[in-house]
Amino acid sequence: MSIDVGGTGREPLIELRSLEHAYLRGTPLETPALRGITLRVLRGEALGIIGRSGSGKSTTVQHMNGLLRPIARGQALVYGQDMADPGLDIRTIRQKVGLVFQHPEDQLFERLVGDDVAFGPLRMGLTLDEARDRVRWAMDAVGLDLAAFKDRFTFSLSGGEMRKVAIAGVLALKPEVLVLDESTSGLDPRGRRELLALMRRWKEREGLTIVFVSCNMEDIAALVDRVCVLDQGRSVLEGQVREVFSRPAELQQYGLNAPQITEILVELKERGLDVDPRCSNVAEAEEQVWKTLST
Amino acid sequence: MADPIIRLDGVSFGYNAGSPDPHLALRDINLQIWPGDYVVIVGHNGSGKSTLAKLLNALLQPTVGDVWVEEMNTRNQRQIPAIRSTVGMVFQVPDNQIVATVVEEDVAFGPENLGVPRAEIRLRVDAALDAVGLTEKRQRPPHLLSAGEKQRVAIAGVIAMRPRVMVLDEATAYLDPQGRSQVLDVIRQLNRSGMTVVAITHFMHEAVEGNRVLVMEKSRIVLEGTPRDVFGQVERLRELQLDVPQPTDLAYRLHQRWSGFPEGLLTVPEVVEETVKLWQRMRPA
Repeated sequence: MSIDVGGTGREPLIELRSLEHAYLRGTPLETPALRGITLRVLRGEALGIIGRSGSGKSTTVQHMNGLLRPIARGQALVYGQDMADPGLDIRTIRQKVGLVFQHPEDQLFERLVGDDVAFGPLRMGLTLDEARDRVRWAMDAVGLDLAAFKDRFTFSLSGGEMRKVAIAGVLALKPEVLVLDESTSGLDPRGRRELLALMRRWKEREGLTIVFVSCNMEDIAALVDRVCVLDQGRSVLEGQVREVFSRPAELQQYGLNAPQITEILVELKERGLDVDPRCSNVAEAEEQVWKTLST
Repeated sequence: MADPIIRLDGVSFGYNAGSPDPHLALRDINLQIWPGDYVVIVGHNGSGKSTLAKLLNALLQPTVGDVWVEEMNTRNQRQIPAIRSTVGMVFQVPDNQIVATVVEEDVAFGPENLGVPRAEIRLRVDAALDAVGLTEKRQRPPHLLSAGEKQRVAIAGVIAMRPRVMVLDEATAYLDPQGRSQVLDVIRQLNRSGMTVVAITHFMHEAVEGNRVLVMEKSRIVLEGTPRDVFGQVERLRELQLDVPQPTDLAYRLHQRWSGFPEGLLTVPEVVEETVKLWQRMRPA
């Protein structure tokens, strides 16, 4: 396993070191979930976390804002703070690291959209005016028009809209790191593409650091810079997304597939064509195939 | 040709029908599903896919028009039990349709409720678990299984009722790649052994599995045909803002650049073979 920080000089905001975790600890049903996770989240990057279901992805990200604390072996450092320290100021950590769960639309509870997004900022102790600014900014960031949506009934929205509102509720806390657990799954193609475009924009314009958990390799390829592969509670592979995806045999061993375009290019290369399989979208793959056919 | 196993004649469906602002989820749908078909339905959220699925086993009745399942009209309340044992449903989130605390008891739940004799239930449960590859886990509590395994338990529960048609409403949406391919393998096997399948999905590479693809948009069926016919219409699919399978997209782009590259390719091996063939032909001998 290689830690591919690549001399970017970027500071790690989150660092997990040989982290372990077990559910139902101390009972006959004790189930180990993490057996050794080592990874870093660097400032300003988008890190993808992939692995089959049950590999420990959700358990891992829940250590990133202290929903789970290291209780067995290993260390979780978030903004340099040891998450096992009982005296830790957890509120500050949770404001810096926002976590969007799977099916975040299930977390909505207020009757009106605006109130739901404002809940977090108000709980933080902001004034009504400050909270209103936050809501405006967050709704804008998820591409929902404040005037049109703030007084809509939360439960009259479509699934994709509800998901955006839930994400706005987390963004309204102005986190520096946004962790999204399977946030594109279950959306239709249009909804997925929109959300991916938004995430790219937050990263590029707002400098948000993104941790993106997904089972959809096409989405991972389209968004992240680096990727970390988990298997049976261990971090087994880490590197630039293009490098990792150009090793389909290894991915298969961890129950994953590379995107189909990568599979095509890897196969072509094996058959003797001069192509580079490290592509992250169809346009790049097109260039590779075209180049080798036209020379 | 045999009679269609399911027939929709001029079906429209409105939620809150009769109110001043009825929302028409389906408009004038005519559709025949034939025995042995593997029909894949794609389209955006809100296009009417799930409403259509629910009409197929009388979970909903049409506002206008008729749905016939083996010549039974779904409006006929007395035939609903027979319709539901002909058409089984698998939903998106398996947890919503798992009821028992042990896998094999969950699979037995359906046939028990159909009044199947005990010995026969045992046989059906064993066969269903075998079909989805979960025989080893028959004594396990379902909530400790992976998502893919849970979805296969849900499918086994439907198989054990021996329906002729299985309707899957985004049954792979929340599964990992391996879970997805396991579920797809099971569906493919069932279809080969004669089960009629209707599957709704957002994953275009899954749509390639069927013998027919229906594209829904704004409450109507807007494209219909074999996967090759439908995915050949890349421009039209783009207009609808739908995804095109990556191999198809790649072949289409190359065809745009040079008409000698074949379009309408659907799978990874097809694109690889065609590319290699062209490359060998163009190489100086």
